[in-house]
Amino acid sequence: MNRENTIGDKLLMQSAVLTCTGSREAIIENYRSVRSLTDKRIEVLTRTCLVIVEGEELKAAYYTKEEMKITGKICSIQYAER
Amino acid sequence: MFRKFMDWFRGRVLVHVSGLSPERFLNLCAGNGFVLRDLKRTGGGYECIMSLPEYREARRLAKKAKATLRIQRKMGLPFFLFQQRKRKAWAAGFLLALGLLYAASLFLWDIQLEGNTRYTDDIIRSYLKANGITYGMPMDSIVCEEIEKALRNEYTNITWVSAQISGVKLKIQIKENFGLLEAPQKDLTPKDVVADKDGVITEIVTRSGIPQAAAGDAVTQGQVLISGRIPLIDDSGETVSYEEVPADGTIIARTEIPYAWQRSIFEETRRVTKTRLKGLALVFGDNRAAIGGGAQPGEMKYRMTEYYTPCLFDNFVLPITLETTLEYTYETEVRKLTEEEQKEKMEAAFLEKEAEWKEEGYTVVEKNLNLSEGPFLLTVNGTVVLEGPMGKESPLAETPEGETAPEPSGEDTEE
Repeated sequence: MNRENTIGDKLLMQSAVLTCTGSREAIIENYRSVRSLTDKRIEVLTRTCLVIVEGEELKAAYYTKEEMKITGKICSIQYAER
Repeated sequence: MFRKFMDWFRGRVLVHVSGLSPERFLNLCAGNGFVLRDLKRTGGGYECIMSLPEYREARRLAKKAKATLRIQRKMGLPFFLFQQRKRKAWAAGFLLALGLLYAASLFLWDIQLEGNTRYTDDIIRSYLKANGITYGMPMDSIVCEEIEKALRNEYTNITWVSAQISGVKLKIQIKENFGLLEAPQKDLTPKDVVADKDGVITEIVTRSGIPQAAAGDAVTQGQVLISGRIPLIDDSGETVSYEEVPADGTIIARTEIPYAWQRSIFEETRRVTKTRLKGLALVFGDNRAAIGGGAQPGEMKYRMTEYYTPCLFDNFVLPITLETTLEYTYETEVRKLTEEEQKEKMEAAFLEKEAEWKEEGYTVVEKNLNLSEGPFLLTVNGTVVLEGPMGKESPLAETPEGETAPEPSGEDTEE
């Protein structure tokens, strides 16, 4: 396995970690803050980029310093410049 | 599960966050280690659930972020206790009830018996009571080994006893001895096996004696099937003497027997028109407090008493029993059975009879039955062919002088 692709290395590289379960759940780790949160769009600011989750009836099941879980009907996930 | 309990125990609030920069407030909360749940956007702000200790700290953060916090809902134990602060009597009653339950759990309230048939529950309970094991006694003073030993010594037909305490219940399991205490003496009197009814032999296995019939033979009642007189033949083929033995064997035969059944074509049914509570009683140990009951029911009435003992858990029986006596007033209706009902009754009666035959070792091979309906009676007549054991012991048949020894009718056969 290419060592650069392990999750541990990604954390060292300060990348966010996104884990999706179908189109109903997404867990985001290693971020800095939430820029905005509506039921159709959630913007999460990471150290390297901006993660935009779009969909319907979105909400954060929990939001802590380490991770947050977004639930609802996720239609798209985009990465944008900070 | 544990997390949910701790959330409830500490208390939670649903807060609405609004202001110039509510996102800053949310990020400050996350940065301070708060856990915000069910965070969503609602008209002009955000809504989330946080614990009560976090909310107390969040007010300072809201000032810093220039956000406004408004509690929408309060949940959990701290708020419940605050709401009930004036109900001291309720709280005292609750604690008293817990205390009484705990105190009740230290005593014996139920004795459960299993496996006893010859010795009824009343007999065993009376014996236990005479030996100091009663309802309401402290559990600490019950020694199960002594109870087991005492029951085995007192009742000789009880071969095994197990006594154990489960909750507030004393469970006693018993095994009784139904077997013979002495081995039966074998009867060595010479005898024959004869047919006890007419039939056709289907199987004959001889263990002792000479078979006089074979599979397929038709026999009549009283006919010798296995002879206990064995001829001793010399080298010239003449019978020298007889050896007499108790004949023994297994004979299976088919017999045709008449079957008749009859019942009334009318059926009386009861229709309850009124139910009244006639008696109520509370039983605590050996004490009973009752209201009502006593008078004899009149015609067209009957009474039933039900007992209810509340049970908190499987083995935590409460020491009181509620006894209710209900009186039912009824009307009787007489009606004629329909054809379908007649057939059902006939079949049910036949099945019951068939079960009796089966217990005796017979199976029904064939049946020819006719159902007829009279003005008042339903009648079934016919014959049934049963296959089952045949034969009974009989004194040896006399062999007239001059006759040669009877020839065996073939080898033992089994179908």
